[in-house]
Amino acid sequence: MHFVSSGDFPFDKLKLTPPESEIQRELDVLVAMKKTTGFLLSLALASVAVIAHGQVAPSGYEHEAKVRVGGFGSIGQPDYAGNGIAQGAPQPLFGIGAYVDVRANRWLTIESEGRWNRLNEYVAYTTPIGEDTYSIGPKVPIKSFGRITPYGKFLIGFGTATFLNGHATVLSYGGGVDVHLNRRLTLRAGDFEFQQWMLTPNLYPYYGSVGIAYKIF
Amino acid sequence: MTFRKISLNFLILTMGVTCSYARKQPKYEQARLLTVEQSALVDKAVAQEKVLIKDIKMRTPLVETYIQDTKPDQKLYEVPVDDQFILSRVDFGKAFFDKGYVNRQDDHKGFFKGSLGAMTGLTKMLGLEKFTYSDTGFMQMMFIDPTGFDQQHYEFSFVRKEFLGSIRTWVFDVHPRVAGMGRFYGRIWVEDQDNNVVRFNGTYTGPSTEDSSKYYFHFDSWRMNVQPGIWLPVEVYVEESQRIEGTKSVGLKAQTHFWGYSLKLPTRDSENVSVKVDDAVDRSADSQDVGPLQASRMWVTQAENNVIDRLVEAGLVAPLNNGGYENKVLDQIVVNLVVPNNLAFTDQIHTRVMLTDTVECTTVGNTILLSRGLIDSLPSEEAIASVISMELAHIAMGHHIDTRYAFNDRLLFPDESSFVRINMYHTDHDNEEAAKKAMEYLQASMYKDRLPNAGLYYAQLVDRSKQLKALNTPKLGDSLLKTDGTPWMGELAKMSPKLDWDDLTQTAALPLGSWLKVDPWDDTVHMLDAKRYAPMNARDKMPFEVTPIFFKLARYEEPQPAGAPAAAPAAASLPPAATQPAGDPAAAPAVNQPAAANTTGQPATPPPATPQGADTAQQQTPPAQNPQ
Repeated sequence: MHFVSSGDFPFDKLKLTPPESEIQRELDVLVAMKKTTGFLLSLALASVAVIAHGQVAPSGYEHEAKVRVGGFGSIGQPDYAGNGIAQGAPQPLFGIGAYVDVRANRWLTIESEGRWNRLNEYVAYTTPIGEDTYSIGPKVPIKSFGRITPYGKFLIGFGTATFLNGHATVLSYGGGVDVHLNRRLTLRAGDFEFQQWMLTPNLYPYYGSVGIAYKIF
Repeated sequence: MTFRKISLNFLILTMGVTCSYARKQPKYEQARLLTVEQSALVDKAVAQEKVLIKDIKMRTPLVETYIQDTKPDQKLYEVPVDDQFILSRVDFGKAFFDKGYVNRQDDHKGFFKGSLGAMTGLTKMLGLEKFTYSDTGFMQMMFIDPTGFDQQHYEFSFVRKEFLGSIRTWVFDVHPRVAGMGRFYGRIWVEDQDNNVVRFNGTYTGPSTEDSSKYYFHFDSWRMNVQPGIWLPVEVYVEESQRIEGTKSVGLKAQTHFWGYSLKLPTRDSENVSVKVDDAVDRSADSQDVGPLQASRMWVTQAENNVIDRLVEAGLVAPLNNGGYENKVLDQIVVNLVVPNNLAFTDQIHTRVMLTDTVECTTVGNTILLSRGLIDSLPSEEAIASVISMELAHIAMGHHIDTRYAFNDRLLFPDESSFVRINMYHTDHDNEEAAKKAMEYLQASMYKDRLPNAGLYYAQLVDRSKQLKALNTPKLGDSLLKTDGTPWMGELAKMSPKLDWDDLTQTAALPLGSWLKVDPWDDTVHMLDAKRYAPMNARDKMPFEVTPIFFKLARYEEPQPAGAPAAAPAAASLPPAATQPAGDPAAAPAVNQPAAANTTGQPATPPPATPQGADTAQQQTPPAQNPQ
């Protein structure tokens, strides 16, 4: 896998990213991710405080498979400055996506997701930056607090981008909160995904999204 | 960086909206303001509820939940399609959880059985079953709200004053002031003397989303005054016409029973000493030593006594209640079979009641054990006799239990292991032989002309066996059915007329809870003191079905000592046991009665235990011809 070369690239301005900077950049990304994840977790814990616990245990549990299809809008950092340089883009990338959740049982949901981030593209030299991912993996509800269910997920798939020839393997680590509005509709109130594009150097885009899903059966 | 801030702010906004949405209060009918008097009464009831919870934490009652899944039926309104039986011992010490009794089937060895069991366990653990019931959820219906029942968390509205039996109660509608899952809303009845909640009827708040996989059912929970000043949970009835509202799912009906609040060690020691010494004097006054045969018999008897004592201690068998249902009805039927068949047993045959709702029976030495569910569903004396005759055959043919239980260490195990640690069931070969012999006993007895009627019970049992597998899965003893679903007493079933739902004179089997009630304090069984009604249509028959419960509550009265003047008039009004029809409500013992009665619809033909040439009080043992 290689980056697309740009014909008009100003070689005199070329600045190779030293390894130390690469490490520092990755650390920065990890710290940012940690902060966001920590924020989400503390928010979830705060939710526990405001929502009363169940007093008496339920008498029955249903475990039928449920299928939801949904769409979302996302905003994120593509982590590509252009021309082979993994670096934060100066402006966020917007996108849309669709997902299907198949709830196998109370512990496990399989999520498959397509994400097309092509809006508000940043043009790196001559190449507009756009990223698409297609992934699937387990989504695990942590605990339900009334209508609210925080979850964690790990998806694996592939990504294509305007700056790539072919595609790259993408690992996505994420979490969020589902809010069950009624029997059919579920609001994806907040979803954060930290991606790892298996390239040289690796890209670490991250995206936040909000969406809604409909239970088809 | 700016972009990152935007992302975080966006997430905070959405999550904030989420939280505020979740904190929305549930909507209930506007509560009517309580008067000062009513408010004071509610406060007292709340305080009493805390006392009850504190009191109940010191006890370890047994909890039995029997659930029948139902579906609508054009003719019978609704019919059971599946069932589930859960028996647990509650450990209130740490939290309100229960320990399930391990089924003996779960303990079977063998490659395939083990694998299947493991897979089933794994399936349950992973939650891969379509719908599962929670025994803890059913058990906790004994509480309104174990941790937060007060005026801060609940809104109360006075409804009216009402009598439940002889207890005057104040009725309040209750709903939670705060959001959250598992909070009670419905109606409570508070008795006017000590302000205990004696009944509550409603459900618990759900998880605020129909999409959730957790379900609470509607229930009616009753308490009884079992001791002076102590009201304890006794029964809960659960019903849903649809398990998941708004769907085409099956419905359910369930009963949860609580008993064994005051389990004590059996007093067999003193009882045995006198009986055995008396017997020894009667039979062999001259002998001072014990011969090999007698020693063998005594060894078997020791094992049997150990087992019975252990089962009483575990709350699985009702303690001996002299002059109770077992003596008045069941022992009389034993006599009616023993005498005409000239059966010469060395020891007197006793009958005892297993307290489970499953349909099963067995023998332990000279003691016949019939389950509560079996007795409750048997519609006639001849049907009871058919069951007892098979157990008598087991005794006569020497099918005794393993003498390993003569060693006391083998009975030192947790109560929850009783089903797997005590084997009281017979082999298929033994059952086959006993069934043949039982037919001979019946043909020679006073019941010979009524055997087709008894056969109806077995026909009905077969008819419902596929739907009610849990009911027909014995916990300790033998099923009335073979593994292929046909009854051991198949000959009787063949003699019966065809089952006809429209024939109202044909009562093949009764609903559960038709005959017996259990004192939840001391586990003794008593006959229901209820009016019996004949079915008016096919829907009234409800064979083997779970029905609603309704108690006529009364305050606890100290049992009168035997021979006390106060008891004399009542005793005098009762005919002698030997001539008293067993099913007559008046025959219910007047002493030590639980303070309530179940009044489910009953047929007009209770089984009369008619004596045949024998004295009930003193069972006669035919002389000689001891089976060796």
